Amino acid sequence: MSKEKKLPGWKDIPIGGVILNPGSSREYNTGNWVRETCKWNKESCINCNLCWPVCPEGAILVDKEGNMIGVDEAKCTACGLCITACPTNPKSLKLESKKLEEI
Amino acid sequence: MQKILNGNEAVALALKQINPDVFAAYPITPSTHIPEVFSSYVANGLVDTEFVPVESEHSAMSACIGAAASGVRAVTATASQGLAYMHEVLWNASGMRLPILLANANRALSAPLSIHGDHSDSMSQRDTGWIQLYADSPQEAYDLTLQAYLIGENAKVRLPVMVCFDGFETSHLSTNVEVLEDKVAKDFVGEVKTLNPLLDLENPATYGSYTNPDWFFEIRRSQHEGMQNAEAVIAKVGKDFGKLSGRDYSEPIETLEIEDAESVIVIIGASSGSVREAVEKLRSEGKKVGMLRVRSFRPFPADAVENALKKAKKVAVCDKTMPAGGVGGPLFEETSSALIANNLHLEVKNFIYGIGQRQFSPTHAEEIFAKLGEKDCERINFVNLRE
Repeated sequence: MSKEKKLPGWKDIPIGGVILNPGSSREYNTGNWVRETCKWNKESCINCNLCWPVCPEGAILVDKEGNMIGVDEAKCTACGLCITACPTNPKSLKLESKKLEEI
Repeated sequence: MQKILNGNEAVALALKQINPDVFAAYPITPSTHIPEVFSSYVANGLVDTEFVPVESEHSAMSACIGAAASGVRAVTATASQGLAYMHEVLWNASGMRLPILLANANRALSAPLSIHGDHSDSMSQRDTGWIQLYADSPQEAYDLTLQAYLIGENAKVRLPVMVCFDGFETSHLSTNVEVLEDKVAKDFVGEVKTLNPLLDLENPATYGSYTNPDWFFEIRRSQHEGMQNAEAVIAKVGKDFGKLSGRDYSEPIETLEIEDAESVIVIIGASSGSVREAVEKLRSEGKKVGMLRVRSFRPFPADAVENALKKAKKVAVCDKTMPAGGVGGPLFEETSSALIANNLHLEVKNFIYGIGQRQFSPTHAEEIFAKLGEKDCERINFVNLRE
């Protein structure tokens, strides 16, 4: 809920929901309606980056050197594709329920 | 200047004077004259319009949406199954807040198949977010068509407008129509007023994007505001049109003998002519009867309706579409809600008439006044139906 407070009210949104800033899809939080998210286990992760290209939402966060640094939970839709791609045993990504206050 | 025109020809003439940029249509009875007459204007070079003979009504509305989003004036004409086929994209037009004009010659929906008039087509679209104005005559169809873009394109409204008129009873009724000089009409309608047009390449815009639950509600709320604002804009445009033509449209309703009326018929469209005759006859016999005709159904003028009916004792709301399991027909439900919302409790009954263009004459309107208040008057009654 705390995130939603930052969004504009209905009077401040362009008429018809028209988007006036092109190339802005990165700013859209695709996963904030989902009840689950992917949690990353840094300890078992081998930094192979196989999860990064399969994520449809660009939710896998990687630093400039290409090291995985986490999951953007606001973008993650809990589809689980990254878990399928993860080669470690146990998996270094797993689905977890969000806390109520995070939704 | 007077011309003898039927409703369709009157709308086509108004469109010629507007000279819209795009006309996309798939002709259907009883609105066929409109694209037919208009395409002759196109062929003879009397308008600059791009006429798009699409393969379906769904495509007609889609073409209009694309054109309107690009920043030009788009129009279509349809009826019945055609309007039903547009249903899905009607929501896109209103959701993207595109001031498209749609002329609808009201016709029944199948089955059984009927080409004749009733209001079931446009009443089925009442919640699509389109402004709906209902004409009672070729004259009003012409007048409202000229006003439509000024209402829809207003910065506080930005909504598509449906001008509805009764199939055959108005669409095919040839009568005297007072028309404006071309230049006077053109100057009144003026140039298109755009908002974020797609063809403004310096300022790119995205229409119809995906939204999650965190945005959709706000965008719909804004749409509702546009519809609420439309009430004042309809009045303003109607008043301006009145100054120009002598025919005032500043009120969303028309009333007849309503000041001291005890029994009032509430109705939409062409059949108000029959009610008018009945009211005049019964008044000459000393009976306190009146009529209220609703011209703007979306937005519904709740306060104006309540204000007009507050002195009445009995109200007969006439619907030209079947209630389909509802408390009553759509006009009955709106009228009743308007009264209740204003804490006005009257005896309100519903009369279903004219389904599939069943005859509705002044005699039938008199029967409604007679039945109103009788013991066997039910919540929903049927006029001129064989038992």
